[in-house]
Amino acid sequence: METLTAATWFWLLVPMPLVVVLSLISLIKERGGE
Amino acid sequence: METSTLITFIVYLLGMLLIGVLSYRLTSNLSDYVLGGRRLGPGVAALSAGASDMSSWLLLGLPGYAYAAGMDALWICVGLSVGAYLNWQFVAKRLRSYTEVAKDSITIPDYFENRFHDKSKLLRIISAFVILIFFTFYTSSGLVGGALLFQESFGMSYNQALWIGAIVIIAYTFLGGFLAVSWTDFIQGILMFLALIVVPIVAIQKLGGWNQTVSTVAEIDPSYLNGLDGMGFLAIVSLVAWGLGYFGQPHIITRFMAIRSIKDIPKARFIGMSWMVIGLIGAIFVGFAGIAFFADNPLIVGDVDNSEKVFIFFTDVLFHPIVSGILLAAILSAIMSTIDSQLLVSSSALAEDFYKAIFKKNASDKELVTVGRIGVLVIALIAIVLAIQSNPANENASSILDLVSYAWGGFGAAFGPVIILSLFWKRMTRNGALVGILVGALTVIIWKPLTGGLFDLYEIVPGFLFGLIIIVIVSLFGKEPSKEIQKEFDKAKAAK
Repeated sequence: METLTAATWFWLLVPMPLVVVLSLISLIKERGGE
Repeated sequence: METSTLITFIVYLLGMLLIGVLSYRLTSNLSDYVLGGRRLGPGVAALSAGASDMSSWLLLGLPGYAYAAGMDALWICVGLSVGAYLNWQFVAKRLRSYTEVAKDSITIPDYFENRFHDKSKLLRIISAFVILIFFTFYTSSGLVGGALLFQESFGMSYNQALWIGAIVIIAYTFLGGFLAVSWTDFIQGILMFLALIVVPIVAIQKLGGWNQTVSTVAEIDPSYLNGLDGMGFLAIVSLVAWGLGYFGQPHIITRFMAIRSIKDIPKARFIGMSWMVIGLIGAIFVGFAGIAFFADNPLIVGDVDNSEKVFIFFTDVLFHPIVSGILLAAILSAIMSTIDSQLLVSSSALAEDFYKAIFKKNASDKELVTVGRIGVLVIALIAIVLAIQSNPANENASSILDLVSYAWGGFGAAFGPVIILSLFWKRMTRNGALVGILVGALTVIIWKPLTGGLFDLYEIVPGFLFGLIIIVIVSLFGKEPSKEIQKEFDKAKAAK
């Protein structure tokens, strides 16, 4: 069965969602620090 | 177009105008007009920054690119996501506090002048000039996009479609200023977000699911499945480098200045980044699904390239006419939300940075709001003239993407390095900033027409780099900034 290449999945689903996760972590951290 | 689609579309436009009229009554001075009196909550600030940023590019350009090139489109998305994140993470908070410390600056040229205590007005005038030049092109590209949408949807002529779209957009920017723009951006941002989730899911479902979609795409050309296929190093760097542009886009970073409090920034950042990443991935899949969906009737045949209309075609074939009307309104939303913000920044540059700074130092707030509003009209008219000349039916007309990438690169290179260093480097001088803006803008202008070898690199890369280097060199050779400037720097740094 055809599928997207592994490198394509990686670049599609790692860096972009990662910046959302980082934003969430810093939101939680800064709320905790208040 | 079906009557119900048309009615939905018109109801939406009237709703946007109503917001303009209501905001008109809440706008009493120039700070209200330009920055909404710095009272945006995190949700409105985040979606407004996102919607102003993305333009028709997100709903037309990016799906079109993914339709034409498959997964190669992911690189520009990676660059933009990382750039936007770094902008929110590092620039937003410091710019919000520094613009308040620096005599409550309300525009970018205003901030530059107050940050460096520039009494010569040179910094203000040159940066306002850069804003007017690049935004006129940028605004014009949006008007072309709007005209194509109206033309395709309503069967009008290009010029009729251009004027109707332009009149609606100008009417509410003219009336409401920043509050109207931010609130309509917020609504438009939600609409764009929903459209980019719904369209690819429905399209892939109609194709028989994900596996079936991928198989059909692979049958057409397996290279569509590989984001690295045929991509050289320079091509990847050029696409990822779009992310550098964020630090210098006046219509986006003014959203940071307008946020109610720096305590709201983490929440705004999370909302903004979630909106953006889901939107970008959705847009890639719209184009990708389009490859399979329109396999029997390809959108690119010989010289005829309709790839950027893939989203419009999907709204037509996949949905009920009322939903189709809402989705077409989402495209117009994307276009309007960017143009209105750009017109507003340009008009503030005219009112605050030219009129008040050069011609009438003691101009009243009421007078400045009036000048700002006249400015919106004048700039829009110039942009309309450019858009008439950019009719794709004309020979040698610039494409929308060409105009956007030029303006994006121009702002990124001219203002990006100055914004970053002015916020984080105490030793930076006024002359450094001045030369940095000039070198960044000129590099983009000179590099753009050159081709071959290294010159195929997106002009923002050398522009940004040269700007950064020259600022450091000129600043280090110049006299250290005064104690007062350094004190303000520390105050902005310490703000919580």
